[in-house]
Amino acid sequence: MKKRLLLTALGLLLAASLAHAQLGATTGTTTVSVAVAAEAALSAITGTSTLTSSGTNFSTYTGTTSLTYFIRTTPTSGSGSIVLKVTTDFAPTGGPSVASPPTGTDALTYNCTVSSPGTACTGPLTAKTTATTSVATFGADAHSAFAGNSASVSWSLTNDPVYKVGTYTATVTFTISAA
Amino acid sequence: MSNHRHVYCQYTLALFEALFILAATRPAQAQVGLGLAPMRVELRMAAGQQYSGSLKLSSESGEKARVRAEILDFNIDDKTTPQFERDLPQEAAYSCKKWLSLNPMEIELEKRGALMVRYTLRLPADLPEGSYNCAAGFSTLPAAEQAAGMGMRMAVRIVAAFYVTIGSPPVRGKLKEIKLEPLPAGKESEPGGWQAVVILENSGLMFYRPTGKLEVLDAEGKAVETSDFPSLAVLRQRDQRFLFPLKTRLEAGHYKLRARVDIGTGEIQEGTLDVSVDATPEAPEVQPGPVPQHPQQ
Repeated sequence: MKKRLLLTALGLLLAASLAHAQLGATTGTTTVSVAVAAEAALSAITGTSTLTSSGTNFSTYTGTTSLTYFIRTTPTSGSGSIVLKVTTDFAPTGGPSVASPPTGTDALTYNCTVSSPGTACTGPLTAKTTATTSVATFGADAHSAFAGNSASVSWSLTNDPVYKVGTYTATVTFTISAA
Repeated sequence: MSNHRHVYCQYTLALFEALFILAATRPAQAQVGLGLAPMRVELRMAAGQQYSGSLKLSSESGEKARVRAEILDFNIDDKTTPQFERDLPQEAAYSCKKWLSLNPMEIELEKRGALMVRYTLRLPADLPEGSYNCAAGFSTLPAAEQAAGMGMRMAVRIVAAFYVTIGSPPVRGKLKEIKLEPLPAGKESEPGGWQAVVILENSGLMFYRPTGKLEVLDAEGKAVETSDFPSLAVLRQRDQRFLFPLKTRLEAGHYKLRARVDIGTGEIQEGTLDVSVDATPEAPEVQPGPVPQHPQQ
């Protein structure tokens, strides 16, 4: 009984409080502001890309690195780019080399596929150990889809008969910037 | 007095928050990813001042990620590709690299974790007026997996560019030249492809970002193709090439390339190049040019 009284009293207090609040309430508006910042995101969906050769003898090694990017740049001065560089040449020695290929015409080249609003590189480009080369560029006021936009780098590596049989691995570093 | 008060005018361009994720094709492979905000920092400071701020570095990795920070020089090369290197000797006079410090330099990020990286710029007292640029780069270690046979391991670097302006140097420069160059042959650029090249000169001490358009006009003066100038920085005291691969296949006839650009002075500078395409030759005939016009207000 005592508990019921206590609950009733509490209920009355709450009701009074709510009534008071309602009596004092006025209709109004609240300003809610949100700062929408320019953003970008990129997913390169290949931690390790295997290059394979199929078909005719000594056909070119090929492989793909898939990307997904997200971007929102500012309307006037926004810009951005994705570039790549071979930061560690193929190792061990005896196989392909980006910096010192065993045959002068050997090369690691790539083509870029980038859906709008990104702009793909104009390929094929030759990957280098000495400088970065373009993958994609983004201009001012660029907006990707909510789920991102796709891009990819398709690799081609000369299959030179002089390569010694073995496993050869290089490291490619992708750099994203807004310089 | 806080460092903040030393900076009489500073603004940080949160142009980008970038996430750079490197994942594996196969689910079993580790996913590596990085994010950074802001991606560009522009500061107006005075010689001798010091300023500190922070960059938010985050991980989109599926597991703990090790990240290494480095302080870099940078420039924009003649293919309009930014080059970030630990040392670019030709940039030494305009680099803020030696005044920039980062803390920490070695970073371990938890899965989906984030960390504030503090940067500090300590400017020498005798620094002359002008704009200076440098960058902070954050690199993941390459994926540990070994590719089977012939392969490549991927690493990720995400970079914040710093622009520091001392004093109020005026923008000085001009539209120097317009050229037409063949595109490198390849899958994307079939033989006969061309690109317009506009060279902007920056003779001043201040970088600028041009705005404007390049147009391909037909014999009647009608624009058959229009491209905006990309918002690339033209760093101080150099010529910068801007490339405009032409989408239009130029049929036989006369064309004019017209560039109209504002380098940040409020004046429109205009230059043109006459191009004549014959029915048979592969290369367009280019008339002597460009023909610089008087700036327009």
